[in-house]
Amino acid sequence: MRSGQPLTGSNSNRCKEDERLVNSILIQGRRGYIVDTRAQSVAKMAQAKGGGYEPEANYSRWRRIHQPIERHQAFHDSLIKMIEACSDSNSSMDKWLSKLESSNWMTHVKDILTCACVVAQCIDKDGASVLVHGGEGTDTTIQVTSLAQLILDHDCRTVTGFEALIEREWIRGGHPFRLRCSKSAYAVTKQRKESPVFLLFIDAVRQILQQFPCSFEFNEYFLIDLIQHVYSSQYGTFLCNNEKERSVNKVTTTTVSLWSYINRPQVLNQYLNPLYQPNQVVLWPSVAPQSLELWNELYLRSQADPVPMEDKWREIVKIAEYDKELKAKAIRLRRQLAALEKEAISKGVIKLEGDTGDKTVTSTEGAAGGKAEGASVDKPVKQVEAASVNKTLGSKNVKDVDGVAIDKLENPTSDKTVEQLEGAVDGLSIMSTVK
Amino acid sequence: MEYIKTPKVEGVKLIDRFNAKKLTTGILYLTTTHLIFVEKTGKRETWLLYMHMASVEKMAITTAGSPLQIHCKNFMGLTFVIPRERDCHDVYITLSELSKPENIEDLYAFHYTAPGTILKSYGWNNFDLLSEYLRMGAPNDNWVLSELNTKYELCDTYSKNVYVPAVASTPVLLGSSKFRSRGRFPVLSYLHRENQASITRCSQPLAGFSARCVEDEQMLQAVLKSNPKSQFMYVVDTRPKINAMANKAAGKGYENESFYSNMKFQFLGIENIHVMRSSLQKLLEVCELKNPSMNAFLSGLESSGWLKHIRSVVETAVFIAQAVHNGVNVLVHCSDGWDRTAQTCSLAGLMLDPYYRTIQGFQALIEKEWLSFGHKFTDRCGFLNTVDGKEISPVFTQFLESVWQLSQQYPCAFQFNERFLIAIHDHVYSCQFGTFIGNCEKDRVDLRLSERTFSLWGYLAQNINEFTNPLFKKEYEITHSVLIPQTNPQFFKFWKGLYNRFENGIHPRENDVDVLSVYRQHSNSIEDHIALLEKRVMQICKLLGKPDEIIQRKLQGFLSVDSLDGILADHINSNENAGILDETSGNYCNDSISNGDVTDTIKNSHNECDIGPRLKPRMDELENVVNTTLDSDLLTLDQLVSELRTVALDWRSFRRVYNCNCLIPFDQHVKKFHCWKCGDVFCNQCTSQTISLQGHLSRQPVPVCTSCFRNVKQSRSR
Repeated sequence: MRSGQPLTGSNSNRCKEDERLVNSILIQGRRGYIVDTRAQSVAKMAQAKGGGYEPEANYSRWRRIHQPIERHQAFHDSLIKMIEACSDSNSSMDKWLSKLESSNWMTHVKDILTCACVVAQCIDKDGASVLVHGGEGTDTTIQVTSLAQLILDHDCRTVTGFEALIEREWIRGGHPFRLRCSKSAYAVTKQRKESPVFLLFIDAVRQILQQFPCSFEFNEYFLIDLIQHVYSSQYGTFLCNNEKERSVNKVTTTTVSLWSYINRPQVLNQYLNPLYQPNQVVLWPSVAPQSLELWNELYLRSQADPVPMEDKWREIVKIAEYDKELKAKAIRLRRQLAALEKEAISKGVIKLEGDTGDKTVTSTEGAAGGKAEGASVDKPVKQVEAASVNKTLGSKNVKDVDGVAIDKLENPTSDKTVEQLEGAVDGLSIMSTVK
Repeated sequence: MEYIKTPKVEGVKLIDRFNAKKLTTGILYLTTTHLIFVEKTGKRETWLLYMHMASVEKMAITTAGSPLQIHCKNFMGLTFVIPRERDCHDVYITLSELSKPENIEDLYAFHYTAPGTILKSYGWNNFDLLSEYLRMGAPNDNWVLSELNTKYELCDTYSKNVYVPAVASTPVLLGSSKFRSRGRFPVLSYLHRENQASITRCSQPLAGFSARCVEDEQMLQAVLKSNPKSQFMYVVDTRPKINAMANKAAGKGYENESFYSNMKFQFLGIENIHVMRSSLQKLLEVCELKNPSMNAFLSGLESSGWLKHIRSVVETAVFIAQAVHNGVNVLVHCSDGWDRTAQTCSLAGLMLDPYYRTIQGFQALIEKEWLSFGHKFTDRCGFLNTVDGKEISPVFTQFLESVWQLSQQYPCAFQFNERFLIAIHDHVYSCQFGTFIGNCEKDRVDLRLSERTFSLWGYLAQNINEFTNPLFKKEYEITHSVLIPQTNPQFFKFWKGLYNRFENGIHPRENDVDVLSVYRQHSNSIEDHIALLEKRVMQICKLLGKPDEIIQRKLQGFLSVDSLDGILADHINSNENAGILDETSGNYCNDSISNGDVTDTIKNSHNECDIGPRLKPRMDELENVVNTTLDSDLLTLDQLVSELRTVALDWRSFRRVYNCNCLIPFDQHVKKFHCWKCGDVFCNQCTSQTISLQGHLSRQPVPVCTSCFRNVKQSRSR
């Protein structure tokens, strides 16, 4: 759950309705957590301006945790410093490290990840509800809530899930993209509204991706391109500050959505991670400074030679795809062999050394083939194959064959026969050894 | 051994580094070579090699007992709490004695015996200096093998085989040797095959404030002349100029430019061994901070200066490599020419020559630059108690890290992986193998190490699967024959895989490189299996008398039409309505039915051929195989069945595999392996047995797990 800060103000206003609303999500007898993304002192200061935090007395069923993250203005400053440090290619090692340190960028990344982990921990370990808010609830709050979901929910780590997460939390949730990203990411502006809040979020996502390279359906090029589109206005997805503005300006009818571009197969293909294996588990990223790395591929793009890294990526894709292809081929050949064996036996070309009746033999073969497949083929492949068999058989001439084919393929795999046949196989091997 | 007073201490607690209140209780065993801590619950074992221990400290006694802190050379740090003070003292004495033997013959390598039937000689012959020079094209018109050092009389820290310029006469060599610190005169280190430019290495001249040596000047001219295309050459002094000047007071120093013509002198500012030692010390303090903030970590990293030093080493190597690449000879020296010189020459070689980026080549590089040119491993790594503490320095560690930094920038250029570098690092310090014992070739010959100890290269060759980089692209030999890395400070990273390696928490939870190497191996297995399947399909087809066209189709894995084809034939036969309809026409008929659907599949199969030319069945080859084996290889059904059973198509994912069958828990350092038969995950030990599987055409022995091994053996003996 996310919200803005309560307007307690300096004279400690309270609002019964708010208390009731907040309490209504708690399950009987359970406590919840309020994660405030500001330091306690900052929250206190906000009280003077009419904002503030939830006093214990009025929200007795909630425990308040302060998990300080800097405000968006600070992000902007540190990005400017960090990019400046990155682009100074002649500096010495000491200068570079001290500049990187004083930019505080990595500290922000660490803070946000830490806060998201705290939220995720409250939910996963304690099973408690969590209310996250900062000042307005449109910047750090969204960073934290969306990261926490990414940690907890494996659906968010798919391409569509991630798109939905951004749409839900950032776009519908009213992150003021126009204010924050109207100029380039590190332009110096007077209004102090510019801020790389979204970039920081993506950076944090990438840190998790680095630590769990097999748990995300997308790769880092997807993230880099997302950043680019936030700042370009090619697609309408990130225009305006909130849903109201968008409907006033008719964004949805006059512009194309970024998602529709990304979801086109040929575009999507380059964003897919060949190492992806769906992972249902909650990911606990490490937030130790040693494990957080500066995102060279993004911030040092202009200096680095991109070829070696692209080579690496291409090689990864090649290895993974080649393996998949081989596996599919092996499965096809196994099936084929099974069919051929059946045929050969029925024609008497292959003779068994043992003296078993032809019929059992035929089915033994089928069963063995079937069994091996059943054990090894994973479901999707099997379905696809079945589908393709059906497809090709679909034309009229062969329609009556259709049934036969399916029967022949499926029959031996049915449990009953398998059991029988296993026995037969055992018998066979014993016989042949006797010989 | 007489040092072990208490071989077993019970009730010992191991303190968790991050949470001092978290303790694990267990028993401490002291064997002749290892300190072993066995946890009471879970039976997890921690093995510490005495040779790895860098420092053992007794801390102030607490209520729980006396703490004993151990720091290891492989960057492991542990604190035990021993309940009785007396036990603690005994253990302390034992460890201090055993971690630093007095005598070189007490080192681990002299007691170690490898498990199994591996011979001691295995691996010692992997490298031959003369053939390595032949590979580079020496000797030739310009370079000859000198016989002056065959008994180590000219320079006792060099190899007995040294290559010198052909024009340099014996008096010149002798004179130059006298004028160089410790007699280390200029000798050939690397020769560029194409442009004849070379790297030569030596030690500082004994120039003092005014000394001069005509022979040495002639020697350098001879080196210059060995490359007729170049008008000048570089003399690289890897030290900061101020250090070189300070050496003058001791009668050493650097070459006086006015005495040497056509030379360009360069000082490249790599700090000395003492600076490096304290820098690493500071770095390790940063690594051991408990829950540091980002800023504390970064500023600690900065003030340690470690990355700065790594960068200066890499930059110097880049300078050398670029000069040689441009056809200019380079002479490299530092003070004695065995630390910074070894680092930079070997790195430059790595950048220039793709061969050194292979597993075999990297070993050759280390043998050549580090072992034969006399890096003082015994002293620098502090193997013995007699070694002066000031001699210890992480020079070789820095070299390995520089290689790692390079591999970070070029992930596809190296045949070996990070594990390989770490394994070498560990075994340099472990003294388990004789490879790195001694300070120079002469020491090793005198100690007869190749007869008395095992070789590290043999061990590495045996476990090669653990060390190969799945991303290695052979094309890089041509496309990136010279690797010039970025040397901007932004491109140097902290190597957590080495310095923080024992903190499991901070490493990536999923290792993409390991997953990829699984893919690679799996592909190999399936490839072989497919070859067999193709052969069998072919055989049966021949038996059934099918025409080539159909066979071809079947081999392409043209599933839909095939199965249809067989069934069609069946169907037709059983109905007896079409008379004799042979398969070709049946097949043809299928094609003609093809409306959209079938053409789709045809297209697919074509696409497939485009994607993977390697997948195309090798018709001719196969035909040969089949023809030759057709008669001898009588097919039986159970044979076919068992063939299918022996190869697993699906290998288990690493996820949620926490233990091997043998109960060894998997963590960052234990690489996981698959059994090629059942596809399950095991540790290296459990898949060390290899056997050929029926399902593979080549019948090459492949790794299987212990139980599969037993099964296959049994079924074969029956």
